Amino acid sequence: MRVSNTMMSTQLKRNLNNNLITLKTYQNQIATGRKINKPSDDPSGTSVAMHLRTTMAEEQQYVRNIDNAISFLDTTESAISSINDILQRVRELTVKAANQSETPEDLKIIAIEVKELKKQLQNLANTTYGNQHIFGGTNVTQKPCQEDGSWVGTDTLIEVAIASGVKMAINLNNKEMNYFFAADPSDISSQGLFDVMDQLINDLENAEYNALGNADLDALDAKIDDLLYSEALIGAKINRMELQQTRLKNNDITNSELLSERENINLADAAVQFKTAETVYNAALSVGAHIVQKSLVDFLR
Amino acid sequence: MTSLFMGLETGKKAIMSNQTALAVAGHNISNASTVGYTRQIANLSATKPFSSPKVGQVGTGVEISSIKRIRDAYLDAQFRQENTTTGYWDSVQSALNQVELILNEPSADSLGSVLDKFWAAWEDLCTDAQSSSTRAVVAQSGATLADTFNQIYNQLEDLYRDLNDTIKVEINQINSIGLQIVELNKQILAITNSGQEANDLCDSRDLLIDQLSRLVNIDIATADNEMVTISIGGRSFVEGKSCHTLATQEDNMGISTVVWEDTGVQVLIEGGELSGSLDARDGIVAGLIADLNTMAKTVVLSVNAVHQQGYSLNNTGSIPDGTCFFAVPEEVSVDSVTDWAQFIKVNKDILNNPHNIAAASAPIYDSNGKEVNVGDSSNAAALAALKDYLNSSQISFIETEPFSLSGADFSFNLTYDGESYLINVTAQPTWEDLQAEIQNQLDAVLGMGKVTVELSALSPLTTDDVGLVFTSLNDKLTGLVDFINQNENYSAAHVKKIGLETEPFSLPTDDFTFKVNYGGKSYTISVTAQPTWQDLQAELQNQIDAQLGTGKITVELSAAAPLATDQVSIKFSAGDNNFAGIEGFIRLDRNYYVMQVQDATISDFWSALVAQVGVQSQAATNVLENQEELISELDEKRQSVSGVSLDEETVNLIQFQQAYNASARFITVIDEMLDKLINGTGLVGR
Repeated sequence: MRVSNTMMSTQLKRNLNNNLITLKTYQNQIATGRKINKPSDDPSGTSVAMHLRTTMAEEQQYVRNIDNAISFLDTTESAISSINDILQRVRELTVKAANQSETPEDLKIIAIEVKELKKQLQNLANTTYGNQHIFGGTNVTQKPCQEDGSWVGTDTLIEVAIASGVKMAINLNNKEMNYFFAADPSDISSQGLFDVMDQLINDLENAEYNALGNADLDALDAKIDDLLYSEALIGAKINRMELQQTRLKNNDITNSELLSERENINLADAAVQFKTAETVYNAALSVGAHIVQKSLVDFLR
Repeated sequence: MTSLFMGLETGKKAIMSNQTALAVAGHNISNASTVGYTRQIANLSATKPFSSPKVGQVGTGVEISSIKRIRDAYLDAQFRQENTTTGYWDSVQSALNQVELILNEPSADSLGSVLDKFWAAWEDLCTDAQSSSTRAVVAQSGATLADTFNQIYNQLEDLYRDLNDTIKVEINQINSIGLQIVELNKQILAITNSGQEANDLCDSRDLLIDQLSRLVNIDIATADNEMVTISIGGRSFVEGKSCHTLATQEDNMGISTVVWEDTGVQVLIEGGELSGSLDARDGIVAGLIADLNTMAKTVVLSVNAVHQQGYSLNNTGSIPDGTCFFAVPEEVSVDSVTDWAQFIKVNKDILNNPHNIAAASAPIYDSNGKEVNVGDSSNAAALAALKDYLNSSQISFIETEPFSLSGADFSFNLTYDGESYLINVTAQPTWEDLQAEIQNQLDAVLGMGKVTVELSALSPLTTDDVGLVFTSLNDKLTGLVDFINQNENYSAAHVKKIGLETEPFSLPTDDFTFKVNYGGKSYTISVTAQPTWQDLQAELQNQIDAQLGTGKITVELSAAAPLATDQVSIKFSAGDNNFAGIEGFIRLDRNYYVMQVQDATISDFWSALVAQVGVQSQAATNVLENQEELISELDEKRQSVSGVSLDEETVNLIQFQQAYNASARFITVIDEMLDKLINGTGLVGR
């Protein structure tokens, strides 16, 4: 093969440029820490990485939803437990009152305490989480238990997604608590908590020993049962959410690892490859410098 | 006997010829670095001998018979052909590179991520529907989504316009080169007619032709008189002394098509940078704009549709008042709108007052005008669920069952747009190489960007158990036949899973049972052993019909008669997507999925689109690299023949200088002889 001077210099230029391209690729990878800087670097990797990013964004949102829901449910749980304490006290007083050794005057004094406890219950029914009334269903702006004793909460649920296509309610409404606060409008015999309290206060003031010992006590026990049911319900909900949260957080770790495996470089590998490329480049430069200089002209006198 | 003076004449010819040869060597050295220069050699030949009686032929010296270029026409043709291909991929690759920059994936602030954040904002609204700040975040994330769509659209549109301008510039270059070639043709003809070689003019012309071959596909014919005819797409562009120039014809949108200036007929362009620019403009970029519009349209229409069913906080009545969340242009029908990605904007009313976001799906106020339902967020939840909404985006993909990497070449048929294409694949050592090979073959057979193939598995890739996913951003990909020696064809549209074939097994001698999953239920099928395959098929069909009802699933034997007792498999196929698989059959099943239009979420669509650009760009970069390598090889070969070697020319210089010196010495000899003859003779006896 015949070798001309342009061939030598063109080849040298091309090889130097190729070496530089390799150097630039590794330099960019090391500087950004990423293997995939544009889709063509690894199309199938890009597609996997994008799916992972979307999945991670969705699941992180579900975790946020669950965090929020658990706080909401925690507030609800503590409100319910306070209500329970009060009802236990009311029950004690009722049992004491039903005992005929108490005089009607004693009963009146008990009635005063029960009235105060009723006000306390009303306050608890109006507990808020942030500025949302937790027992009001979707009517979050108004106090569900009004000054005049009427109940304006709705029987609707506030639902959030905890997984793709899976929704859970974060609130407990009156209906779900077996019509604990207000009576079931479709059932005439049903009584709300405040109806029970009013009846009790009335019986105390009128010293209806028989009613106190039977109907009132039964009604109170029924309400306490409903409350225990609600507490169990909340416990179950929080459990389920915490399980899902743990699962999502584990997924997030796995997905981050997968994403990193796809997108990020192994720094040690890249550094070694960069060094190798640099050595090749230096060698090419030094050889090139020798070849290009010489021709026969240099040796003629 | 020759005359003594003849020696003088011989010496003179030698001096002059060597002087000319030295001039040629000097010319070569001077042009050692000139682009497109071809080394020349002076051909020396002996002049006609003098015939002397008795003595015979006496030589009369030397002359320069010609000064020739050393060039290989075959290498030129090869170089130009590859140059055309390189030019095409250069244009395509540079356009795709810009597209990748515009798409900005994968990154944390790309369209994909903005879309994720948009859905997340709706989810946040679910827990806190009465909060003005949460509502404002929804409105703002909608605005960011719209801005991102606008931005990508505008950048793609700019690229489209740039490519359009590039086409005009390229046409000007082509015309300018054509006219220069015509001028050179004229000058070369004049010189050739006078019997000489127009070496340097031919070099200039060859260089121009090289440049032209990069721009557009050309055919070259050289006549005996050195006149060159160049044709583009079957019509002569340069014909001797005349040139048919190209022109651009613009439609009312300013989009150019390339036509012949004299006839106005469209030019058949099949290669070169011009063709690459046209393909990039009309295929890649225009296609992406259309896909982006499809995606924006899906977002706008689906979000609006859900939003309109809701109640805003400002609604005191009992009728849903949700406005369009994204403003819709006031066209007669939405179908007449095309550039959805360009104008997508959040409705001003919503941006100004986020209370207009319709998060509730029941009236906010009761009949007495009291607000009782502010916390209702079920419509927001419905809207957030759109992210999983499988719909309308036009995308189809086929995923093969995992298979092993084998060393054998194979071929399969792919049904695209109603046509069946045969794809031949050469075996590759790794999955990545196989993917690239199949992609190249698909691009070659179907054209760039029609069907993308990706590996279905995450790394690390073993030699076994990796599937391939064939994706098309439209609903035209409808079937895959005979993939890796599977004799199957599933092609019905809009069906998720329509067929299943068992692995070959031997005719069973005992009764057996297995389960069929169909329409959400699992059916146990008990089969009695049969003496022949045909009987077994009939028995299977009967049992399945008895359990599921007739016509639900068809049972077929995969092999043609005659049937051996071994190596026959059973094929189950259903006409709808209720068929969900078989469990516990004699040999493990393998199945194909055909997923179509309904089965892509908006995010899937986007990532398929990005992956498609990535695959195209990767292929273009690889092809371009190979082409550049090939071009350098060919250019090196040309240089090897035509390039100037300084060593060689220096040797020539010495050689011709010595010959020149010796010739001069020869003349001195003759001179001395004459001197002797004239001054030293005739003095006899003195």
